[in-house]
Amino acid sequence: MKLSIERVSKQYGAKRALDNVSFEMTEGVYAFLGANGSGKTTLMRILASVARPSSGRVLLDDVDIELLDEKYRDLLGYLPQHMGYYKNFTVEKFLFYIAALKGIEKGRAKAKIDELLQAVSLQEERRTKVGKLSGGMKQRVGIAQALLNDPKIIIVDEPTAGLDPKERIRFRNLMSTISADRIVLLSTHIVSDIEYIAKELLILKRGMLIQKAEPQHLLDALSGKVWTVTASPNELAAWQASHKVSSMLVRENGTELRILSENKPAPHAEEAIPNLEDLYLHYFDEEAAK
Amino acid sequence: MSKKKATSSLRARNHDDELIELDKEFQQFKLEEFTVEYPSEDAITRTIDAMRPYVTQAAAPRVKYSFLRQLQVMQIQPLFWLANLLFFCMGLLVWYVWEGDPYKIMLLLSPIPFLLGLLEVFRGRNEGLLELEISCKYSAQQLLLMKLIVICAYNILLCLALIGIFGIFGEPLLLSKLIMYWTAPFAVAVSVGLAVASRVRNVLSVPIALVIWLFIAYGFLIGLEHYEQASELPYIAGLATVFVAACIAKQIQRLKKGFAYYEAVH
Ligand SMILES: Nc1ncnc2c1ncn2[C@@H]1O[C@H](COP(=O)(O)OP(=O)(O)OP(=O)(O)O)[C@@H](O)[C@H]1O
Ligand SMILES: [Mg+2]
Repeated sequence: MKLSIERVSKQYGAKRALDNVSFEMTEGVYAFLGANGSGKTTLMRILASVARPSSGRVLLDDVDIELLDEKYRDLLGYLPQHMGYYKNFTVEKFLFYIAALKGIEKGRAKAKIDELLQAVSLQEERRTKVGKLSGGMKQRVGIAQALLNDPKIIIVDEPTAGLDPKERIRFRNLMSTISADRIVLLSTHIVSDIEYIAKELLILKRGMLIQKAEPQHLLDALSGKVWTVTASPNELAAWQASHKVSSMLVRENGTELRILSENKPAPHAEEAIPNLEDLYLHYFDEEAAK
Repeated sequence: MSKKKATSSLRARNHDDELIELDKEFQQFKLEEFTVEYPSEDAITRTIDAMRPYVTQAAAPRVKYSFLRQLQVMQIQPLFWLANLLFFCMGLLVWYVWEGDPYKIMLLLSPIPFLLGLLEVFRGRNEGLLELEISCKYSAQQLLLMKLIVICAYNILLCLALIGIFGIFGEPLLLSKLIMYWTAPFAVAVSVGLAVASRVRNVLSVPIALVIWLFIAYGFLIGLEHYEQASELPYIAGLATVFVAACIAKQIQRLKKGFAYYEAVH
């Protein structure tokens, strides 16, 4: 299975939300990283066939998804970034409703719903009205509905927003288990969500795809540029003003700073192994600085 | 041929020798003293879990998809059914208490439940579910028409009940007049509703359709007062009904096709 994005652009009035984006995906987890407004949702909506590109096209195994139409949507599981619910539906009823839209026969839907409620640990809430759920629980209902039809292509837009750490880990494991024979595309601002599970990272900046590579490859490119220095409290401000600081750790003998720098920032600085946080900072320092 | 066989058996013998050599080497390592630990329950489950995605699941059965089964899941709010009943009672009241003309009651009231039903149809859109709904196999358009049909059918049922009551407890209604005052205007109202609903894709379509309907109903009333005596009018109205109904049926046909089969394309 191969999903190809060919020179896709999306124009909203004068705003160019996507600019000539091309790439390919095969089975595995792909993670979108990008600052707010960089075009992640726009691209995911196009891939979920709810929006059409202004130019360019999307092909599944060399067939335009617009031609595949219903057949393509049958393979799709989609979680929109902002999703609405029928508030007076119970969790179970809501899932049955979506199952009907996905053309799943009732008996099969029931078995699948049982399985998925367990996967997102919502068995106890199955008869609760969706309007009464907490934000994170609603999000889990959203994740469950995306998986109802055993989709071969899973597109989830900030799926972990609002999840507690335990549920985030569960979600990560779930994605990594099911991704063996599926294309999973997810966007996130939380880098730990994709650590170890992402086959490739896609970095978007102002509607352009500026990087697409294996995480390790991107991390290797950063090696030799991440340093740790220990600073006394009165030096902290100076360091932050003059360098990109990715994290601070208070220790007994001062504060340990993680610094991104092309050159050794100080004689006593020690080289560190780059992590995804450093990577994020490297590409989106303006946002992180805010 | 025989030469080939000879070489291959030679090769086999060489191979055997190699294996014997290897065996001797292994014995030096005291392999017999090496124990293999039985994997823990946990490790076994983990392995099974890891393998699961690679095991192809049984293909989804190709289920013939009945229209009715879909209806079970089409959730329509109780309020809608109640509102419709209310209109039904209103018709009865106007007729019984104020002795209103049953034909005019039918003309004015009958399509209103349907038009209000459009609200029901657009409920999902109000609550931001549309995006999800159109990413599913059956598009929002199909879902929309689907609900419209249900609503329309309920509407017709109520109308028939009303006609029955008018007929049993009052003067029996004339079919020719019913065609003029009910079926023709009703069919027009439904098609107007459908047309507006498929173009104006939000709740605004309801007031718009209602206003358009009121104008059309007014036109019908004026026209019917003038030409009621014309003997060919029921035929024209009948033809118009059939024509409009055919247009509606065609849309329904398209919808049914979409729902007819659950095609597994894996
Ligand atoms: N319907 C729309 N009409 C006009 N502009 C839009 C629309 N949708 C998105 N945009 C613009 O397109 C750009 C990309 O938006 P998009 O929602 O894809 O960003 P994003 O990467 O998903 O951001 P976030 O991290 O905040 O979710 C933004 O500048 C946004 O203002
Ligand atoms: Mg977004």
